[in-house]
Amino acid sequence: MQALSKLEQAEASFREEKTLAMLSEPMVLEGKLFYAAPDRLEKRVLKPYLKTYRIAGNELTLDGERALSLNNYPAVGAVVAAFRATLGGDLSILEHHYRIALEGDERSWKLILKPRMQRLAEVVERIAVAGEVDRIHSIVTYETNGDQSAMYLDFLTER
Amino acid sequence: MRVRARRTILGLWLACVAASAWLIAASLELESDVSLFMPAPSSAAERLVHDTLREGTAARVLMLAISAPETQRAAELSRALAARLRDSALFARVENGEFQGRPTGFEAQPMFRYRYLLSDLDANAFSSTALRGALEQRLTELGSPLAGFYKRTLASDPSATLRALAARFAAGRELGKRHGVWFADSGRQALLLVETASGGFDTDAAERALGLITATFQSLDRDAGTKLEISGPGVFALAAREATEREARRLSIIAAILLSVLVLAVYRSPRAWLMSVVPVASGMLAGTAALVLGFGVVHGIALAFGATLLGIAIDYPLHLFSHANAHVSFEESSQAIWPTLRLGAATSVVGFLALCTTSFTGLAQLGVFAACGLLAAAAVSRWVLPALLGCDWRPAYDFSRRRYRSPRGVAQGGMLALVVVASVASAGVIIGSRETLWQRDLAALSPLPESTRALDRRLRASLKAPDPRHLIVVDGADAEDALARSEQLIAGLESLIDAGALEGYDMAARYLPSKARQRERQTRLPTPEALGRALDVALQGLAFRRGVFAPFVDAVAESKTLSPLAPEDVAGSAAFARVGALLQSSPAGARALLTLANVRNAAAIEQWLAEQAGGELTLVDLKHVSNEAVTRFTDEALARLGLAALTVVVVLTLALRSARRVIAITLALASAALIDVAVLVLLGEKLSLFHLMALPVVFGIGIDYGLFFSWSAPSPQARQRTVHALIVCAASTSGVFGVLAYSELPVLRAIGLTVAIGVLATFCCALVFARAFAEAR
Repeated sequence: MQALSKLEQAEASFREEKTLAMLSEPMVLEGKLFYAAPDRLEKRVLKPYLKTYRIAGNELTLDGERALSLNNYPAVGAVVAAFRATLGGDLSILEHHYRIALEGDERSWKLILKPRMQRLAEVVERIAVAGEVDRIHSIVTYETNGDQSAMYLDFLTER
Repeated sequence: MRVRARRTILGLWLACVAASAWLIAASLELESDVSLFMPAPSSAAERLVHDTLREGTAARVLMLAISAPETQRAAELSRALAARLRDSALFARVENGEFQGRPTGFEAQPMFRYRYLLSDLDANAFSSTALRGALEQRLTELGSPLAGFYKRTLASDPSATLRALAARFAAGRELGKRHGVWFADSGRQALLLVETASGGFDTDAAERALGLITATFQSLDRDAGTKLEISGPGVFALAAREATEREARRLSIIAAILLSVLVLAVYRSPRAWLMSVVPVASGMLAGTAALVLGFGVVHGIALAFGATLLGIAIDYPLHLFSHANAHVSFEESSQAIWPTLRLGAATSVVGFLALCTTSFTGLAQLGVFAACGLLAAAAVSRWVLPALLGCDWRPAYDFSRRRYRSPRGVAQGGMLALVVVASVASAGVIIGSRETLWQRDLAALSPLPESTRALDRRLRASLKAPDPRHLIVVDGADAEDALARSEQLIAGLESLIDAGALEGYDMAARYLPSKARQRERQTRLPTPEALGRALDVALQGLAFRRGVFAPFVDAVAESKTLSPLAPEDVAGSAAFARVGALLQSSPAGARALLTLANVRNAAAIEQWLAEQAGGELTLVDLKHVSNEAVTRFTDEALARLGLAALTVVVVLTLALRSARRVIAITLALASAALIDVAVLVLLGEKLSLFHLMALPVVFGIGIDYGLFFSWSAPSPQARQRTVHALIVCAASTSGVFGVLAYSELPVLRAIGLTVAIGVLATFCCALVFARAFAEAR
């Protein structure tokens, strides 16, 4: 985990492939991901539609309008934490929400996160964060019902 | 006094005391609800306030707030407390925002199963166009961080009907959460709502419930800095009772000490002091026993008031002791003044009996207590005291040795003029301020400290559970009828909202439509075939797999055949809690309450209501209704007081057969009352029924002083002793009631001020008028 540098700020373009049982073909989203320490995360979907999800602290805003508070949805908060804490290199937050197992070595590693919260564990089986040296290149969420959501990141700038 | 007579008297007295004590111990039931002291509901509106709001669900809800240094800790405490309380039979419902059901169990919940019957769906909601729009929206949501959350109901509810329904149910009352439990907006306090199983105004039940809550909280493993705050109608009732009891106890101890000091200082005889307690105590016993016999359930307030009315009773032994001297036996000196004393007591008793001629239980109990208490106190003073003291008791003092020089000549006429001027000026003050004279606001009479009421306001704001003020009551033959009738008012209410007459409303039918409406919605639902076709069209080109929405088609098909949801079906459900609060069924019929929020134009609403349903419906303003009850009570009290005053004058005339004395006393009472009220007004007091109920005390004392001041004493010594007695009486009574005047409770303060000022005024007026009419002879 020390290998993973703590990012202050990052911008990445992403490609997300969602394989859902109810869809006949995987859903593909492309866009840009912005991160600013410690808790600002923005997912700007550019294809196939335009949508901006912004998370600051515990508030989720959808296209600029306040949608909900993560306080009311602790499970969602945990998933968001997986992204934010991984990007920010905050091990303690990750430990709080997940049991962490490390696979691989410094060159090519994989973090397996298993949710502690029972309500989340009923839906999310594990989250696999994979990367090389000090860079994350994918975050894959495996759900208990077989659905899968894989986000591939291509960092453009980072600090 | 012969030994045998003495023994008989003492024996009789002890027997009465024992009997009363046994009667009280065996059968005394104390009622401490202020509302029961007030008149029984007379108008339909008052009955509504009484029945519905005091017995209904709203009266049983307690609001809890847990503070802790960390949010996490507060949340843990909230969960732990809720879990323990749920196990207890004392509580019907305990909510803290925790998701009670399992994520997979929600399909059985009424809100989900009946969503198509509970929702007000557009006519085209199931058209392929509408479905297409919904499906596209759902696809987008699958790409959001909340995808996992939305997926659960997607297959069976692609139009997100459940979500819209839940939002409507929560409208405006959605509470924020931290760590899965409700928290106040500030994030510092965890919030809980608890509904007790028994009625909120049953103070004993409230005490048990509150006791359990506080004990449970304290037993939870907690650090310093955690705090539990509770509010609700049950808390109010209990706090009112405790505040009154505590204050009454505190002040009566102070008063008792004061009185004892005075008696000991004046008479320098411990035995006299002890004896002075006996008539008052006997009077209280007799009064309470009479209430138990006559009413069964005794009202705590009547008892408390009654006790203060015995401020007159303390005068009897004081008169007897002041007249005692070394020259004659106690028996003889007592006998000399007994006729006057007896007349005073009798007149007061008759006056109080006039209070009993009312239908208002509270006032009647007051009258009975005072009448019996005074009778007993007088009788005990006359016969039991001498028996207790023994034939050979002679006091060491002789108060005839004091010289009470009364101002003569011009000074005397001057005093009369002063009193007359003061009386007229008082009348002027009273008439001048007649607009602002009366305290009509029930809230100002509350014994609750402002801190308690402020806490209640704060918790209500945090829990978004405001106290309703305006209501429309819709009665129906049964629940279905009441719901249907309420639904008919929706259109009108909506247009009134658009016009700005009010901000919103709530009704049971908003959560649970009438069966008729549910059936009507059922007929408008598409058949499985029609829905299937529309769905196929809508799904064209979308990535959804075939057959994914089979649960949706099945759900709509099932909805067409469901038997409509009834109030019984949702009785225990937390989601439908408002239905329980707003709809009450009984064998006699059902009553639906429509609460109105922020009414700005009551007149417009009333006018609209008058045009509905043949004018049966009315707008109820609860504040208005409560204040009306107070006004009625105050008016009745005034009327009874007038009757009492009249009765007193008649009795005096018959007994005294001396027009001068009667006039002297009547004028003294009248002017003292005027001055008393005027001083109260000048002190900024608004007259309430508590002040009114203290006036009989002033009258009783006034009769006593008036009779003695105008009494033609058999000797100058007797005259001096009379004056001494009256001074001691005035000092003791004004002292005791002066102590009461310092109370924070409006009740005690009002009584204390009225009597203390009244006694001083009466003393002067009685003295002046007695002299004026005596001299003129």
